[in-house]
Formats: sequence, C-alpha cells, structure tokens
Amino acid sequence: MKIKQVFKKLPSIKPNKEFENRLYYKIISGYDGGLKSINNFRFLKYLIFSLSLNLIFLIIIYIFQATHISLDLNTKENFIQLNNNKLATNYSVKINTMFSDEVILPTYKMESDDLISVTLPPGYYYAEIVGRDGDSTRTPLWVSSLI
Amino acid sequence: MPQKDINNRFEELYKMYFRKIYNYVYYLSQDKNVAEEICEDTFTKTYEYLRVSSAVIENMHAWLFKCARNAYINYCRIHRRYVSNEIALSHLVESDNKLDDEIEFKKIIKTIDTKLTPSIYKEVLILKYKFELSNEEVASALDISTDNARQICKRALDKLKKII
Repeated sequence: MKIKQVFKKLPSIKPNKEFENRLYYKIISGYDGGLKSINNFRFLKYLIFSLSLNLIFLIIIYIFQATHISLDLNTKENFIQLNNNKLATNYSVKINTMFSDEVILPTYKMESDDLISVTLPPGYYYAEIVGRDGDSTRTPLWVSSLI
Repeated sequence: MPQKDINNRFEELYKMYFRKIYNYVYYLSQDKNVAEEICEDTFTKTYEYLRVSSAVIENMHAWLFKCARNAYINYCRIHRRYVSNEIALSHLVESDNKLDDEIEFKKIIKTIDTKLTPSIYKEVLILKYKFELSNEEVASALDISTDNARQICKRALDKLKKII
C-alpha cells in the first residue's frame, strides 16, 4: 500500500451536526447586530452596571432618609424641635442626656411632618432615632446656657 | 466590506473548511470536545478577521489550518497536564468498524504511530496527503519555510519507507 494512500485512507470524523449548525449561527448572530451582538452585549453590560449603581445610590439615599430627622435647635427657649420633614414614616425617637442616660423623651413614634418640641435645661443630649429596619443612629444635641 | 458580503464569505468558508479543520484538530487532539472548542475559536477569529481587517488573506486554506494549529498549541499550553501534543492515529482505525478487516492498513498505522517520530513528520504527511495541502500551504500552516516543509516531508517519507 502506498504511503499517500495510507494517509488518504485515514477515516474522516463527522462532527456533531447540531454543533456545526449551532456554531455557525452563534458566530453570525454574535456579530450581526441585535441583542446578541457582542457590541450590544457590552453596551448592555455597561447599562446594567450603571443602573445597578444608580439603584445602590438610591437605596443609600432612602436608608439615609429613613433614619434622618432634621433637628432644629432653638437655644433661646432652651428647647429642641424635632421635625420629621422627610418622606419616610415610622420612626421612633428617644432623647436622652448624654452622660447620665436619663430619659428626657421616651420612645416617641413620628409620622411624616410630625413636630415635637421638648423644653430642656442647658446641657448635652442625644436623640436616638430608630428607623423602620431597627437600625438606630444617635445625633448629639447641645442646649446652650449662654443665651 | 458590507455585513452581508462578510456573512456570505464566511458561510462559504465555513461550509468548505469546517469539517477539514474539525478533523485536523481531532487528529491532533484525539478528543471531540477539544476539536469543537478549537473549531469555535478558529472560526470566531476568522469571522472577526473578515469583519475588521480590510486585508485579503491570500490562502485561506493554509490560514485556517495555521489558526487552528495555533489555537490548539495555546490550548495545550493551558491544559498541558491533561492534553498530549503527540499525534496518535491508531485510535482512528480502531474506532471505525469498516476498517476493522483491513489488517494491513491497521498494521501500517500502528507502525506509523510508534516509529514515525518526531510528531511533526506525521503532521506534515497528514496535512499534505490527507488534507491535500501544497508544500507552501503546509509551510504556512506550520509556520516554517517552504524548503523546510519540503525537507521534513522528504525525510518523513524516507523514514516511512524504511519502517514499513
């Protein structure tokens, strides 16, 4: 048997027909525009990435809003005004003295646009604001005796 | 080139060469999954080349073999613990029932497998006689000079004549 014939006689392997067709369409559709195109896919990835960043940012703002109450300190009258002027509801607020933990205002539930006023002697206090998720933040308050 | 022309050209190439490239890689790797993976890589690169480059490939036949070979070498480099870069042909004969009776043929293949070394001899002869590449195309596919390809082919044939 001739050497050339030996090599020619080597059997040909039939590839999986489904793979053959699938690969062709995968390559063509991968570059042919539409949602499957690689460029569009990249764009989609960036879009999803930026949207998720925005979403995270919004969630952070929302959480911040949920635990933040604007505090107006009126030193003249020696009282503290807590004004819930944010959108979130279901806070509870507690005012304690800073060093002795004496409860000045026990847990007080606040709804949107609620306003509470507490008259206090000069000193250091903190307001403990508990959000709907149970997380609490402490905001220091100072009532001056100078004025 | 407009997208439609690229797709038409690619379809033409794919139909013409897919099976050859698949078989070539299968001969190299002895593994259908590897052959599929290398084919995917090769034809994706080819399509990308057609799409991006304005340069015309003079010999597509040789270029595809070269591309597939390089992809396979890279594959071997990455999976060097699991993939052998030695070409073995015996399993092709064993797997084909039609050739079971052809004892002589099987014997020759086994002799080629065991005695025709280095592996490049087998590769050159496969490219030249099985896939019908010219000396220039073999040289281009293997990234060697034409004279070198011719010489390797001659040496391989001489060695084969001695051992068969």
